[in-house]
Formats: sequence, C-alpha cells, structure tokens
Amino acid sequence: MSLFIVIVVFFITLSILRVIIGPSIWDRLLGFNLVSAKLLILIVLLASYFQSSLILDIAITYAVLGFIGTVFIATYIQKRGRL
Amino acid sequence: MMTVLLISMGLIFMAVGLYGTYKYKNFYTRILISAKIDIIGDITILIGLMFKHGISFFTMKLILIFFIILIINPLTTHIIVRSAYQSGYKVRKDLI
Repeated sequence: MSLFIVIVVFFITLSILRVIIGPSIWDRLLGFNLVSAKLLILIVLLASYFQSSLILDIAITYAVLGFIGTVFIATYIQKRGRL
Repeated sequence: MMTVLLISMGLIFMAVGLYGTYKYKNFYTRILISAKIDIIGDITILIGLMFKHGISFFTMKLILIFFIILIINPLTTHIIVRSAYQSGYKVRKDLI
C-alpha cells in the first residue's frame, strides 16, 4: 500500500516538472490541473492507508476547491486580467 | 488481491498519461491525452479502493469523490482548452 503512495508522489513531481518546463501559460495550467488531480488521489490513498474516513473529507473539499482555483486562473488568463 | 490489481492498473494508466504529456510537443494533443487517461487512472484507483473497504461509510465517501471527479475533471480541462483557443493560441502545423 505504501508503495502506491510513493509512486503517486513520484508522478506528482513529474507533473510539477511539466509546470516548470511548460513553454506556454496553458501548459503550466495543464500541469497544475494534473497536480491537483493526482494530489486528490494521494489524499484518498493516505486516507485508506491510515484507515480513517475523516481524511476523506479533506479529499472531498480539495476535489471541489482545487479545481475551482484552476477554473478561475484559466478565465483570468483568457480575459487578460480584466476578470 | 483485486485491490492491488486495480490500483496498479490505475497507476499504469497514470504513467501512460504522464508519458503522453511529455511525448507530444503540441499543447492540444498533450492536454487531450493527459486529461483523458488521467481521469481513467483516477477512476480505476477509486474502484480498487472501494473493493478494499467493502460496504462501509468509507466507500460511501469514495463514491461521492468518484462522482465529483467525473464531473469536475472534464469541466476543468474544457475550460483550460477553451481559454487557450479563444486567446488565439495557434500551434504550428508541423507540430500536430
């Protein structure tokens, strides 16, 4: 079980690498979207590793709020600052 | 046994998605592949965890997260690509 967590953390670092490399802004947004999706899976895996369903509440709120953040950044960039 | 099988399959899907992100130089192809395969990886892992915990309060929350991911992930990817396209982000023909 802990091996899966280590692998997901490795995938998150690869996504962060995509955020750093990304030639255009939208590549960085794609990387940010990937990171938040994988982070969600990491929290879910940790919740099942620690056998506590309280941590899953964090995953639910993060699932909604993390992606809303990406949505607002995308619209901010699209409207070039005049949100 | 089923849990380990499903979670490892999900991780393989994630690896393929990440490989697709780095392989393609064109943004639109890149986001198509990574977003699609990424969601499948997430869904497989969640179903694998559902098998592990059986019928319990934990699985109910997992089902809720499952539906949240199904709705929000494609929405976010669509908004990102829409903002890229409408801002006039054109890609050279030879890269596609």
